Amino acid sequence: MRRISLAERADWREQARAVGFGFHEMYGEPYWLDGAAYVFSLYEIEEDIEAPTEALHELCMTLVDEVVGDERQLRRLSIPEAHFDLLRDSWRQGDRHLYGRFDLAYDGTGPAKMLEYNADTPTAIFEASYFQHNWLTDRIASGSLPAGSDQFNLLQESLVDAFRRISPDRIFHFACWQENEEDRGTCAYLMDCAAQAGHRVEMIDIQAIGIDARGRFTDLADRTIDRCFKLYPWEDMLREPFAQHLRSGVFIEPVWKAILSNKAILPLLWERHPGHPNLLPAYFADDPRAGNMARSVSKPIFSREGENVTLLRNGVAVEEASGDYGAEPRVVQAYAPLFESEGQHAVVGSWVIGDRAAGLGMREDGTRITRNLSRFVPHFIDG
Amino acid sequence: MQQRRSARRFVRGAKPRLMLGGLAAAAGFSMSGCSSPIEPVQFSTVKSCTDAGMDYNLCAAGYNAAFVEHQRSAPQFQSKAKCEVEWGANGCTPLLGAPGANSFGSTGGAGIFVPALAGFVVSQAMQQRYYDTGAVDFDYYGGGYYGSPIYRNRSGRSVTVSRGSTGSVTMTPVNVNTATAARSGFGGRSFSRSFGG
Repeated sequence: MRRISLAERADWREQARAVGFGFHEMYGEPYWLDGAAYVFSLYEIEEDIEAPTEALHELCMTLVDEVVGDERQLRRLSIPEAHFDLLRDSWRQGDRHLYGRFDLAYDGTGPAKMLEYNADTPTAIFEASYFQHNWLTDRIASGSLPAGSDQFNLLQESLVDAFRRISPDRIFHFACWQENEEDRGTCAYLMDCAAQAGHRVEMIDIQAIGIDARGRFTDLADRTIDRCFKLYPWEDMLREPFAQHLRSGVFIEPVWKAILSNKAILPLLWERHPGHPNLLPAYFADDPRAGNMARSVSKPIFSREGENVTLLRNGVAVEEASGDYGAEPRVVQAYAPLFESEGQHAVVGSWVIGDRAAGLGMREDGTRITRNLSRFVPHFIDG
Repeated sequence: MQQRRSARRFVRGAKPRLMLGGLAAAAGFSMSGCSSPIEPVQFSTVKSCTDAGMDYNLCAAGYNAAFVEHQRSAPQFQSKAKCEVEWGANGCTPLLGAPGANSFGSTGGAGIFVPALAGFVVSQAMQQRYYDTGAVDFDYYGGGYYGSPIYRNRSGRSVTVSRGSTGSVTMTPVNVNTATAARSGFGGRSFSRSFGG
């Protein structure tokens, strides 16, 4: 594994514009880096990323099966009590899930370590699946990379395949916060994959979802919403006014994903699999063992984009990210160094589509806490 | 040490494609209240499909895909009487190819019965691909599409069927017209922050 610099593709901004990838810049900063790349060997991809990703996903699915019927564990996960039955129904009825992204700490030497599982509202899928793929194809075509170069990227075909396993017998709505360009773009991309799989698709703003007199969700044309992808966190949906109308079988990601997108799974996984090579020691913040780690990271259980994450040395804060999640319960996880090169700290985003490891996307940040200003950097596999 | 163990390759030559005109366009269609230019359509027969102006090949392919799915997944009953309890008088036919059935649908009451196929959907993707390439094999990545069979329930309403994990069959009228009583019940908590991960 290494990081290299190379000349940008001359026309990448035009390509981004043509395909509606406006969020290649965010908050006035570059987000997509065309002139850098992470390089892996096939061995690193297969043995250190792909296989552990599928193993971790399986541990997570086993965990859901165990805790979904256990009220004590659901309380530890801060799932609202009123929805315990909903989660159980959704899991037992086999509500399908679509995708998730493991964030892994990996530097090419030891085993990859799971930092968290973005199993509910992961973004950066378009960049990894589509734009990164084009980056490689263009570079091979122009001779800037050798013809044998490859990329761990089965993402789009896996997404279309996963959508094709869902019957196209009703409108597939896609709900997101449309004012946010990144969320809207992510939603539009997944919607395109669903259309390619034969679905009739429509986008709707998350706030525009309505309810009829019988408690059925409705769209802007006053039709019932019977299947809906939502890029909106379950921990929020479960606490909002329409939560009382939720039932299993409608939303993707399904409500049982509220268990996996929750950082409280980190101590639960460590409790069940202590010493697992791809897990880091992790404890709830009120566990005395949480304070005994020389270097550790304290994370609110529902934090997104690194908000309110704190780096600790012998239990004392040394680096802290601001955010809106300060009041959440916390977990403390052992610190794992990220791959570091040229002052950049890189996180491996390893995608699960359906139940299969299907590709990766690298993000790097100038600080050790990966935030929303991190940059997406393409990767390739040495031929 | 770290040598390529196999000829395994992830990325093939072709670039991935998008069919809704890019991210901005895809989002734009529905934000402006318009839907995409090609609408999926439901028909009861191939003839009603061609009468509506669709090409015969497309209509036939839509019907065939629905028929294949119907043969594969229609709810099955051990007798005509049991089937008619669920699906109404004259609502059932023998399952073609099942033991005891002949091509005229006469079984003397034995065999496996299923609700009669009442129609099919020609999806957006089928139409798009047909108009783009003329192909009706609907095969992007080596798999076929689900066909979409339509049935009529006891009260004559068009329904699709879905099968729960226990094998139970539910009849689901979908996307029915209704009246919205309230909106904005989701989206309040995260309104001011982005929450992608």
